[in-house]
Amino acid sequence: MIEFITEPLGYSFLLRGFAAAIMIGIICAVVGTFVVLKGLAFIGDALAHIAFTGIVAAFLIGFSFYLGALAAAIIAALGIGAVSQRTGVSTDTSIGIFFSGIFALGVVLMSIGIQSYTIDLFSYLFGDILSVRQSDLISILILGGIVLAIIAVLYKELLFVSFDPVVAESAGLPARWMQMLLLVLLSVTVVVSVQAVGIILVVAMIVTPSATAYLLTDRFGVMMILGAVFGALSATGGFYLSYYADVPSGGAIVLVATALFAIVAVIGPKRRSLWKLTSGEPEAAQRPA
Amino acid sequence: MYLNFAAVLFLAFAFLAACVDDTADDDEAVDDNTTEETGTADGATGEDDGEPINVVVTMPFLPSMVEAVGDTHVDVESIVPQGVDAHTYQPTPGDARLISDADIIFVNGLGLEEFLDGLIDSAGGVDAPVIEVADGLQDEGIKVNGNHDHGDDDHADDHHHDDDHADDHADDHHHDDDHADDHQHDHDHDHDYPYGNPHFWLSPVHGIHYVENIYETLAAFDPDNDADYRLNADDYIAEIEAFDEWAQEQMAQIPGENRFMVTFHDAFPYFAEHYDLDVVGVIIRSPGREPGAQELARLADEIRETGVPAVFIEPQFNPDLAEAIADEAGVQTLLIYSDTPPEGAGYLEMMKSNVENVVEGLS
Repeated sequence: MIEFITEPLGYSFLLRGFAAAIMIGIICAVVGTFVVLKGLAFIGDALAHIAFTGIVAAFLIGFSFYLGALAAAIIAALGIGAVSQRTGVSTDTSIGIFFSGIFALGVVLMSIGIQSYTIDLFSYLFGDILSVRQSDLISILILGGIVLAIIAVLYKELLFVSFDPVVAESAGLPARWMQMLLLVLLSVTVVVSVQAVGIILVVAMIVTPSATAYLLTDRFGVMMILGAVFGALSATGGFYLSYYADVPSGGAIVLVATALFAIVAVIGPKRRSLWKLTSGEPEAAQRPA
Repeated sequence: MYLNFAAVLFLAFAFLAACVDDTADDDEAVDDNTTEETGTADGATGEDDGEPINVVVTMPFLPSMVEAVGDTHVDVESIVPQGVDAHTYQPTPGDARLISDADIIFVNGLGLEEFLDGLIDSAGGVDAPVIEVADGLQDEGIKVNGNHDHGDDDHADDHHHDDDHADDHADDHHHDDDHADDHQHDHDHDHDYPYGNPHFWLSPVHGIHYVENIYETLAAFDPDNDADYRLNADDYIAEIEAFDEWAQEQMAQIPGENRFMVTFHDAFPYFAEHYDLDVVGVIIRSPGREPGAQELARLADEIRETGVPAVFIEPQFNPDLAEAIADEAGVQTLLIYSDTPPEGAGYLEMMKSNVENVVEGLS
C-alpha cells in the first residue's frame, strides 16, 4: 500500500508534476470561486488563448515568453473590464470579443512574422504537467502566493464588489478598480498555470472544483475552501490514476475533477434557492447569471 | 479549441483566395489545360521559353534535393516552412495559390502530409501531378519501444561487442514489449502511421531512392533536359554516397555499449537501422499524442538501465518534456533534425549535422 503511494513519487519529474498540480488545484479553485459565481467560466480558456498571442509577440520582438503572455493577458483582462463597463455589453460578451480578436491576431502575427526556423509556439499553450521544471514550481509558488495573499487581504471588499458593485460603489469602494483587480488576478493565475500544465487543466481547475463546492454550500468562504480541497483531491486522484492507468496526467486530473462534480451533483443536496454570501450580509438576490 | 479557430480562419481565407484564383487564373487555366493534354510535349514547350518548371514540395528537406537534380531548370517552393512541424502544419491561402500554380508537386507520402488533401480541395483541385518521392519504399516494421518485436532483439545480439550488456538490453526490451502489448500495441501501431513510418529520407540509402524518383519525374516531364537531370542526379547521389562513407566512419567511433538512441518522436528508425543503432524509445509516439505518466517513468528507467547516453530532441518541438526525462535519467539532450533542416541548410547538411550530434552524444 505504501509502495503504491510512493512508487511514482520516486521519479523527480512526477513529483514536480504532482506538486504543481496540487498548487494549481488550490490557487485556481480560490480564484475560480469568483469565476463560477459570476458565471464567467469562459474566461480561463479566453485568457489562455490571449496569452498565446503574447507569446507570439514576445517571440517576434524577442523577450521572455512569460512576460509576453502575462502582459497580453493582463492588458486583455483590463480591456474586457473596460469594454463591458463602458459599453454595457455583458462581461461574457466582452470576453468573447477579446478572446477571438486577440487570438486571431496571434494566428495572423505568427503567419506573418515567423517565416523561418522556430519551435511550435502552440506547444507552449499545451504545457505538459510532467515537464514542469523547478523554476516553474517556484513561479507558481511565488505568483500564486501573491494572488492568494491579495485575495486574503481584500477578501471582504472583493466579495462585496463582485456581487453588488452598485452598493459597493455607493459605500465608497472603488468598485471598478476592484473588478479590474479580480480580472488581473485571474490573468496571472491562468498564465502561470498554463505555461506549466497546459490549457485544458487550467480551464478545468478554475471552473470544476469551485462548481463542485458550489453544490455543497451557500457560503462564499466555505465554497472557496471546499473548492481548494476538491482541487487538491482532483490533483491527487488524477496523478495516481495517470500513473497506474498510464494515461496523460493533465487529462486524468481533469477527469477526476469532473467525476467529483458528477458524483456530488447526483448524490449531493439539492441546491438551495437562496444563496447567502456571508452570514449577516444580505442575500445575493441579484446573483449574476 | 485553437484548432477550430485556426480552421475557421483558414477556411474563410481559403474561400476568399479561391474566389480570387478562379477569376484571375481563367486565362492561364485554359493554357494549362491544353498543354496538360499534350503530356510530355508540355515540358518541351516550357523549356523552349526558358521558363523554369514550377515545382512545389511539401517538406522543407525536399527543395535541396529537387534543386540538386533540376538545377536551373526548376523553381522550387516548399509548403511547410523550415522549422515547422509537418504533422500538425496548418496551410495558408498562399499555399493553395502555390499548388494551383505548380507544374509538379513532390510530397513525401505515406500519410505524412495530412494537410495536403484539404489544401488541394481548397485550391479547387490541381492539374499538376502529385509525386510521392517515397514511392517504392516500404516500412518493413522497424519500430521502437517494442511496438514491433522484429529486429530489436536480434539486433542487440548481432551487433554489440559487449555481450552481457547486449543481453541485458534484450531482456529489458522484453519487458518493454510486454508492457506495450498490454496497453497500446495494436492501437498505436495502426494509429500513428497508417501507411508505415514515413521518415525514410533520414537513411541516405532511401535518400538516394528519393533522388531517383525526383530524376524520373523531371525527366518524364521535361525529356529535352533528361541528360542534364541524369548528370545532376548522378552527381548528387555521389555526394550522398560520399557523405554516407564519411558518416559510417564517424559512427564507427561509437562504442558498442552506447549504440542506443532515444528520440523525441518516432522519426529515426531508418537512420538507426542504417547506422547500426538501436532506438530504445521515443518521448512521444506521435506528435500531438500526450504520453502517459508511467510510460515516461519506464522510459526514464530504461534510459538509465540500458545506459543510453543521450536523448535527442528536435527543434520544431517544445523540448520541455524530453528535457524532464533526460534530467530524470541523468543524461544530456542533443539536437537532431528530422523533418526540417536548419535555416539555410539542405538535406545533406541536415544529415551531416545529425551524424555529428549523434556521434557526440553517444561517444
